[in-house]
Amino acid sequence: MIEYTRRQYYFDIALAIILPGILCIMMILAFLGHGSTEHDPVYIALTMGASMFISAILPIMRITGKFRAPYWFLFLVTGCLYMHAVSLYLGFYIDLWYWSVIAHSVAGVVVSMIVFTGLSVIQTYTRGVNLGVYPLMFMSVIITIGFGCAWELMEWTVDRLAGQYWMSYSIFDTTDDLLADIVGSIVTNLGLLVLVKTRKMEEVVESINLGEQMRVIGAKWDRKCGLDVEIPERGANTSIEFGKWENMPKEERFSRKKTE
Amino acid sequence: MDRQSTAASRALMWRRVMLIVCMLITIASLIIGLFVHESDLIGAGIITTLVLFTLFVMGEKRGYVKKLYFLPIGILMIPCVLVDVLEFWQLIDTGDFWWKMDIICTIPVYIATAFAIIGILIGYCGVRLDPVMMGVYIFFTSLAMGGFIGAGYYLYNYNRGIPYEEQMAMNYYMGWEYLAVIVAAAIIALAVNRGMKLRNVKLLRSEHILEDWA
Repeated sequence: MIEYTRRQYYFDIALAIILPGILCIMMILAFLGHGSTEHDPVYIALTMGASMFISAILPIMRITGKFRAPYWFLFLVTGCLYMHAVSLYLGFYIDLWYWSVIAHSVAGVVVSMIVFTGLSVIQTYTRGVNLGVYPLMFMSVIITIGFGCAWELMEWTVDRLAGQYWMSYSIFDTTDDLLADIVGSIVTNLGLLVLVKTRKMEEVVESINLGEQMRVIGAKWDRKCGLDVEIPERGANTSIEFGKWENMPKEERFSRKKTE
Repeated sequence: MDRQSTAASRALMWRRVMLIVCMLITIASLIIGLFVHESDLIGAGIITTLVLFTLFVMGEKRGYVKKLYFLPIGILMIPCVLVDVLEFWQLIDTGDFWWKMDIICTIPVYIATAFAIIGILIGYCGVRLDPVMMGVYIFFTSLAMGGFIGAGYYLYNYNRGIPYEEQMAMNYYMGWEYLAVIVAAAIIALAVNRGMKLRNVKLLRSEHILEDWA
């Protein structure tokens, strides 16, 4: 059981106030016309407002105990959010031609890490579902690119609804963003390959510290897949020794011999 | 040779022929795409040929995936090519309707390719998926095909001096294309999820994807 200390509780309250607070101030300043003159103030203010709400979600979830994301995860997501929001406020996307490529590559890296973590958690805590090591990394790249497409669609939809060209300027703007997402996710997964090769992945996933809730969810998932798995009691000291991160067992592979 | 083994070797031969024909269609799409300067045909041609080639090589080694996983690629490539060729030769009006037809013809190729990729992962890489993960994989792989082709568009057309008005128009239609692919992928993913549940398939394994070969 992961302990949630009083100190962490106060720290989370501070995060829940400070992180959206800064963006709230920037939103007001943008409305007053102090943001970049190259973007529509309404667009900057709306982006700050949306970022403000998103930045508050993870700290609030930690306080309420719904999902206690590790701090590295919280700061990774918030850092990426701030990078986009603050650079928009300062007009980097217009002033620096390469900024969009940097921002999307970083987003590709962050999303890829989150997706890889999510798939790794599924791989580690379930017995039935097996994503395989290399297919998992391949799907991590694919899902990240899928998110990239969804993001571009969101930009297009906002522009259509607002009747403006706030977010998507031309086809090359959209497609170079996608290329940056792809490069970011491939580089990240190549880096993660080193992690997979050099560390025991069960330990790495355990060190993410998602807590016992993951074991319970994994067991419930297995039961849904028809496996006879006991759901661990809260606080029970269960260990994971599935070895699914090792090479795929031979009997799992479809061999030519088997069908001949 | 008894009758049963003759029928089996004939079935195997047909499977090989079907795969090779599909591969030839996709290679032709790639060449036609280069000729008519349609980056979606070039992108789809490269990806689908690679996927089918993998299916063929792995099929020879470990057994063929079911026809469902590769046949739609070849079949669905044909209308996709036709619309682009007719547009190129100005045999059809390239107005709003035909732009949307172009999109409608491209989307099923994305989804069929996504199915073939999942077929490779499950059939040959030992991946086991439950209905939820299968839906997730189908959805994102279909969507990612749009991403790859979008990135391909950038690389192919960046220095071709396309006028700004055309760039804006292309962006408009690309938005529609992504909207169409996200809706279609969501529907197909849900259908696969429901279908697996109805057939009581709790985990999809290689046995479900691969056919006995010969």
